[in-house]
Amino acid sequence: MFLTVIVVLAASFISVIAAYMAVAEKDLLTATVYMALLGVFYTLIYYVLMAPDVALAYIPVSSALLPLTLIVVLKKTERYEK
Amino acid sequence: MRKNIAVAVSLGTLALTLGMVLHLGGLGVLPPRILRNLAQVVAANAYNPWNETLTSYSLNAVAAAIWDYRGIDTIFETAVLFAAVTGVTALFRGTVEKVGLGGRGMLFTLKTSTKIALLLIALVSVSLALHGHLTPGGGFQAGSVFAVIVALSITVFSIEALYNAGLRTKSLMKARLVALALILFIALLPLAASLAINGVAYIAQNQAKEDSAFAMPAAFLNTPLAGSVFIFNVLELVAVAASLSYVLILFAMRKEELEHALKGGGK
Amino acid sequence: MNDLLSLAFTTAITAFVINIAIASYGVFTKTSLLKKAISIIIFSDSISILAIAIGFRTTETQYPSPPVLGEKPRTPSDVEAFVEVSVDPLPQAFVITAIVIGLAAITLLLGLIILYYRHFGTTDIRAPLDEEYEEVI
Repeated sequence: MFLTVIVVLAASFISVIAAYMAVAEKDLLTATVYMALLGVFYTLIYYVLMAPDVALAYIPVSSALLPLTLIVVLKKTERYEK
Repeated sequence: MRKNIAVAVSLGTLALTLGMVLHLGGLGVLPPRILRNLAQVVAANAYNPWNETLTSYSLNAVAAAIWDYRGIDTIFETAVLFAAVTGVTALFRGTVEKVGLGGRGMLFTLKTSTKIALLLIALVSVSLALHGHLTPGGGFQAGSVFAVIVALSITVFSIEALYNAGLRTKSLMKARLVALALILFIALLPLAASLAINGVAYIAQNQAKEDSAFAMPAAFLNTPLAGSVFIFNVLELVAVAASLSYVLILFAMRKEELEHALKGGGK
Repeated sequence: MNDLLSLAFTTAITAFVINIAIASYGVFTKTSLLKKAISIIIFSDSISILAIAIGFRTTETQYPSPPVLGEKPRTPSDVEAFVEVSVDPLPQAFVITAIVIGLAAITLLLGLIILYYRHFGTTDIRAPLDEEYEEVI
């Protein structure tokens, strides 16, 4: 039980930091990595909230498919935000 | 500057109001002690052989809600997925697949270890779809896990290897078309069957209802099969995996293949 | 026991609301279209996880179980016991479809951004307002 509470507290804290860094970062490649990090901690929270189905659907989308698509788009357009 | 202040103030107001709504119990006492009534009905009837007209014989209540209790909704969601991918196709109209442009991929050791990992991912994906009604899993999860295979192959082996393995955009397009058509066919099957014997049935019906005897197979060799939930899960694996792989290949195409499309497309 | 759980739960919900606020700040104020896309992704993910959090519940005796039966129920009381400890399956069913379809919609958006870049040579939203830009359609 204590472990669960600590996991939720830490994951929500890190998710806020990751969301802020993803929005504030000027280098969009780093912002994409922060977004994937947010996805990993959201998956932890999904599991603690007893939603294994959603965690299974969310982990490939947030940590593999979306970052890959975004990195390809960054390669084809521009990497730095002005 | 004034715009920024206005945005900041409105965001602060949003956060404050939401916080107050949560604090005053606008969403009920959080987290609640009792399950909501509708959720109670779904959870109690997901696998309930003592209530034959409402059950779906699926041990996974989420899969039962997706494909049985809200089946038509999910079928339309699949259609939305289809439409979104068709929109991407329209944007990249006029792409030509060219084999032989070269593509080295990564180191040999990495390639070998990735091959083993790809095999395992494929196994996980298929088992998620086949056991979607027994354990956590289902068609959507299995499809997005399967698309990871294509994503990893593009990064490690290059897109050329995918072409050489026979994965073309045209065949993926056909696969998702066939999957959507089969989903619609399974959804309309009870209706067609009831017309043939002059009885009553509903669209996307799974098990027998009070006024309709039509039922999909509920068990296979003493293992729960959950009727149409199992079939829909397998078909949804094909639909989602083909759609996402198709989009990934379109995005990963090289300059020479995209040139014509990005100039405005058309013939 | 439930006090601690309630503390963690309220913290998590507050974190999601703050994430929604951060993401909407990004959508409204950033000028790069790609940054807007990243913000929209964070926004929709936070909304989804908020929906799941609303479906959570606590029980008197134990930690709640996922909405999946462990084994085939043998008597009607097994089903009742499952309803006593299971969390809400309906928001999860909503969110699973929303995640996968949101991915397809986001790729459509990213494809549009690639075409925008080919047309204007930048992903900045203010490009059509520049004086130098001449309409070539």
